[in-house]
Amino acid sequence: SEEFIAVSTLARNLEIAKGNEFHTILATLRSPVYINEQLLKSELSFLVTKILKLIRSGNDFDLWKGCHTSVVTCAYNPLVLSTHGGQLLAAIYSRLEQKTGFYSSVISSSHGKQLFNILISSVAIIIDLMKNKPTLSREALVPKLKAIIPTLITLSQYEPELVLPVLQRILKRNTTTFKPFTNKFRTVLINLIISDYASLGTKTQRLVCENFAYLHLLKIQVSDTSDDETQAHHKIYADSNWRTGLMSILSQFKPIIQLCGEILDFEQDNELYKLIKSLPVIDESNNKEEFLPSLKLDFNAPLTLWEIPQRLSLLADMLVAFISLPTPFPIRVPLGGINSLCEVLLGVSNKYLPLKKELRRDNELNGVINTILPQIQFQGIRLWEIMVSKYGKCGLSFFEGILSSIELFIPLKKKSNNEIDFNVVGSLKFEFATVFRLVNMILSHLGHQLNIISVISQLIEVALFLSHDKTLIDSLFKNRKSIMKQQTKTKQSKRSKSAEGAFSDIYTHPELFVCKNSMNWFNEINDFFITALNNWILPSTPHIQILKYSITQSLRLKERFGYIPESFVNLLRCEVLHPGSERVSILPIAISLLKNINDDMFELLCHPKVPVGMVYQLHKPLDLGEDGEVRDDINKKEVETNESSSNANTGLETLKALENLENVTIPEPKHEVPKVVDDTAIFKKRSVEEVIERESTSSHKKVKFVEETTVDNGEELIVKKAVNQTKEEEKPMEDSEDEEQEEFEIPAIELSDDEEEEEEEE
Amino acid sequence: MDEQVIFTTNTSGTIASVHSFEQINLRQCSTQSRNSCVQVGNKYLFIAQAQKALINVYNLSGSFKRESVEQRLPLPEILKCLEVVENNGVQYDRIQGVNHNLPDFNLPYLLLGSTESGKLYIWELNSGILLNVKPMAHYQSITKIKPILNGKYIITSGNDSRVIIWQTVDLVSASNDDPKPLCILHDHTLPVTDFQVSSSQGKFLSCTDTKLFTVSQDATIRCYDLSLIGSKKKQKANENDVSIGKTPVLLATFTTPYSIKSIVLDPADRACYIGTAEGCFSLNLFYKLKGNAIVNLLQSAGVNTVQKGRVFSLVQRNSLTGGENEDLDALYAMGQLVCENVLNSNVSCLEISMDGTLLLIGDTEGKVSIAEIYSKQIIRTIQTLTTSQDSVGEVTNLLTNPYRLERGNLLLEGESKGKQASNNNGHNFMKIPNLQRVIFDGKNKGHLHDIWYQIGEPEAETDPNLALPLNDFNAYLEQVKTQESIFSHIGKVSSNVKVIDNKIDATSSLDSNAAKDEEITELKTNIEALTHAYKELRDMHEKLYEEHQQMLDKQ
Repeated sequence: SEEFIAVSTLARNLEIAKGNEFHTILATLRSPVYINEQLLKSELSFLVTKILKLIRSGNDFDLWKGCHTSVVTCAYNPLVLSTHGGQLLAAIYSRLEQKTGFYSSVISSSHGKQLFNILISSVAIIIDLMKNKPTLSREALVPKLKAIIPTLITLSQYEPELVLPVLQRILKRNTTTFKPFTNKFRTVLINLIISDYASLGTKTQRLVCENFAYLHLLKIQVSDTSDDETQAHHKIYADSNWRTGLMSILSQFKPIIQLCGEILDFEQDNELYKLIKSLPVIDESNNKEEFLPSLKLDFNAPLTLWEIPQRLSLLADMLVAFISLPTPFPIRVPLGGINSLCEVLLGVSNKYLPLKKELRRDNELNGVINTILPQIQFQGIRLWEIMVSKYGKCGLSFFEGILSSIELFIPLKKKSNNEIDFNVVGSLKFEFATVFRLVNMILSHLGHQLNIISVISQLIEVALFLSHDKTLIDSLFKNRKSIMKQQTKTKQSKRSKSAEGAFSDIYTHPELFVCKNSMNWFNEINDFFITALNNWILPSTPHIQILKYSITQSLRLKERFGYIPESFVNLLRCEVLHPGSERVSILPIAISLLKNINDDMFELLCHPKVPVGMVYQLHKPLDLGEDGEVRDDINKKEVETNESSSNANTGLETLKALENLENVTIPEPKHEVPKVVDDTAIFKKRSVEEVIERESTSSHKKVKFVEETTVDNGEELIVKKAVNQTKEEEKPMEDSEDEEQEEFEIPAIELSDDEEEEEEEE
Repeated sequence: MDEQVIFTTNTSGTIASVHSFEQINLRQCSTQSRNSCVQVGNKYLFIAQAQKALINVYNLSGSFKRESVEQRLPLPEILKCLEVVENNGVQYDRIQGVNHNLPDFNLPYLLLGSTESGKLYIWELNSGILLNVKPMAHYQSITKIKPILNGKYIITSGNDSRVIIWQTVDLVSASNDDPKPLCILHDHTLPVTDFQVSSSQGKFLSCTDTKLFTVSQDATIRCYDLSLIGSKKKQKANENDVSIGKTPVLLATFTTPYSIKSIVLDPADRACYIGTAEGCFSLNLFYKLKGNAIVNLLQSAGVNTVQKGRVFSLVQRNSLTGGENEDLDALYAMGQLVCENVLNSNVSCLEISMDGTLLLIGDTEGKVSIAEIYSKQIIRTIQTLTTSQDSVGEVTNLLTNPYRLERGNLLLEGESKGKQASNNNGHNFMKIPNLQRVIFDGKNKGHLHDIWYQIGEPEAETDPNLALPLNDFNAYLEQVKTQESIFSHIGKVSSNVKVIDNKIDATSSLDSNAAKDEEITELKTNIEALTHAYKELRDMHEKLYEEHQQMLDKQ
């Protein structure tokens, strides 16, 4: 009755299958019909035998097929996993061991690397499938791990990228099983760190550091650490080994920073000097961890100084691993220590500190120093970024300090009055991307009242500058002009002509030499602008610059992609909601840009639905007077008397209500004034125009109408009146308009309180 | 899913649920003042004890739920109110874009506690460090503490009839010895007993329309608009370039006949419910008049106006004769609003269910009544399980929160449960660090400022490169295809590995290979020479044999 392909058929075909057939077999094996205990003895074991045969085959392609088949069957068939999983794992592992034995000859073949890849990942996946299953891992996995781990460690010297993720997981999960091999693995890792670290990819670098940190998961034996009797009763924390590792890395920063004291005169800044002195250190005798070779620096060979940022970056990588990895138990993290370390790193800057006197003459040396100092500072920013992202509010007490330190990272022009050196900023774009990410994270935890505002405005300038596309040939053009002048003077045109040929692209297609900004960059920057606009009212210049930036970039991206990316829409929204001290709202611009993009928020801004206001009925003004001023006064008096007579008790409330009603404006489609929640800016602009108009037409102010709310309960009539001032002009059409207005029911939407603004309602 | 009700009275603590009859009695729990109990994450319940300088910590989570005290945190003084500031959002790794699971050891950032004298203690929970003590934060005892906007700001109210808004960073900053409040509201004339902030709050204080409702013994409810930036125009001439307003705008004042003890807001700010000694009343904030007219009672009056908001007085519906709609309009015109009486009891605490239909009313006799708001009927009453005949005192705290029923889907939920048990060995996880009594010196930069912290496992534990076939078979198949293409380059050439010598390691084998090649060529020539010689010999032999044969034939 069951209509499915028998496992034995699949198994038989497996030997010769390749290409599509093989893929289909894999896909078919996922079917739940094969999870059947009746099939287990005969069919499934036949399949397993076939797979084992493939795995043991001398043909690499067969081996590859066997690995994939066993992984898929184990993943989708719990029966196979629990009965034959161990067997399959052993088979694959033994091939891996064998291949590792002949690493160089295997890797020299064209598919060698793939072979290792599949063997390692199959082992890893089957281990993953077995983990957390009590019996399976006890019976099948753990005993085999003892054999697998040494092989993987050997292999990790050659293929760190493939093996380290697997080892990392084993290390984290089966820490005790790993214990006998710790030292061997440690040697391998230290070797990688010391000799090959720089040539590894960032991802592999991170893996190396993470593995190194995970080596410290092992607990220290109680007996040998407590030499001191008084310490004996102290509880040994689970994280004591982890902490030793962490503190050892942390303490290695200090000597290197002190080395920087040979470049910068730290003693000029007392606070910094004290801070450096207070950085954590551990006794040399206790420090078994230190394994890094000492740096060889020579002022006569300035390029050797590049080792300083490189070493700091290595230490930072390792510290990051220690403070950002998930651990099975809580760890103690010296947040304060890390924070002061970062503060010191940011302090290593020639912004306020002078160079040592004897170094000031050497141009090349100074050039090198100028490039390494921001890199040293950047390590601090990186550490802070990790700290803030992983620990969130726990660092809240440092956040203000971090913001003020970031100011040190913004390069200033020398001998100028706080002018930002944009040339240097341009070369630090990647670093600034990190800075903005950090600042965004920090600001999301802070309120709006900050002591350090100056850094925000400086960062806005930097953000705006960096968001322009950067041409690589800008400086070239400037330089060439001066060179050309010289050349024409000296009439050495022959030489320049021969050189000119290669330059032609630069002159004819300068647009091809432009670095464009990535969307990630824009998202981060927009996020920063949104925070800034929301929290503070910026001065006019940066505000307008941000407006300009957002509008032009939105348009540009719209032309490129056909839509405006989300972060720009958010920024535009925010600009509309917070016009700052500007008099012009960009709502119309934003809406024209977002035309046909159905944005709920802007839709609401144009057609406000909330707040629900009271519905008032309008009555025709009693008399369209000739003398507006008088009428105005009379009406006001009327209102007052009415109030006083109608209800003495609620007089106060009515007055409040009246004030409210004063704000009522009549929407007129003719003006197409969009109703913004905060639309003062729009009206402000108009009021300026209005003044001019008023001068020319010399019209009168009039009280237009009195609003009455009649509540019809029997004979009592409570009348509420409100005065609305509108400009009245001696024009014939005015009457008809008034009549129209009578019909209007005006929702008491608070729009604006500036009385002049309402004059334009005509 | 169900909703958990946690309430404490003067001498007891109870955990029950709204829709089922499960009930647990917390042991050794006694409270004196309101808001002395705070839920920490989904795991712990902190309760400041009456007459003792002690916080009892109870465990609420899943399988470790216990009635007994999990841990006791000794304090320097007796505390009245407790509150925590959560450390949210760290589980999402912004840099790599990965979510992390909540770790087992997961504490909020701050613990705030207030004393009888209006002193405010601020502890960092992860280290137990006493970050700051603000003496005389209020001139009298603080009645409630509440963080808003994801913990950026903190609001406190006190018996000194003031409500103060603080900026959290000012309270903890190392450089700030004596934090100044952001603003102080002193419109009330008698102790402020309770306040509520809209449940939905924006990202920034500037663009939210978040409302703050304060109630007081002076029988008024005051509603403020918390968007501080709104009042910017008044202080245009700020010394800085970047300026911001400082005071929230008072939107409306409601007066009642009775002094008010507590207030609770509808989750969506549609109505508010107030508790007095004479009963519990409800007021619709979108007040309905004749026909379709609806008044938004909290409508802001405008940015520039100096007015102090509207004043309404609340009238109980029952006292009216007809209660017809016409009356409403007339009364509204006089500034009177009609409110409904939900329940007649001496209310001490109020809470609302997550759907906004049930009101939980804690009274002075120590029982919690669950009433449906629409019908004003009591559905259920929860009382402390106790054998003693003594009164348990009034309800001092009332918390609700939704929780997932464990027995939802055992097959799928089982995994995480098992994992949890194996990680913790049942009960053996980290204790909360003890709260210190000495103020931490943040200015001393040499201090390491250790915190206990654990980072959770990332969501996708496996390396995406490994593409675990279970998670994404198609990606796995794609990988298979790319790998196969590399194998197919070598065609059908089978590469059998020759076993040469196990001990030769990678580098030396290359050298020896070269040597072997030489040897092989040498041997080959040898063989060639030998075969040649052998052929000659054989030829010779054959010739001789033939000759010999011929000889024999002749004979």
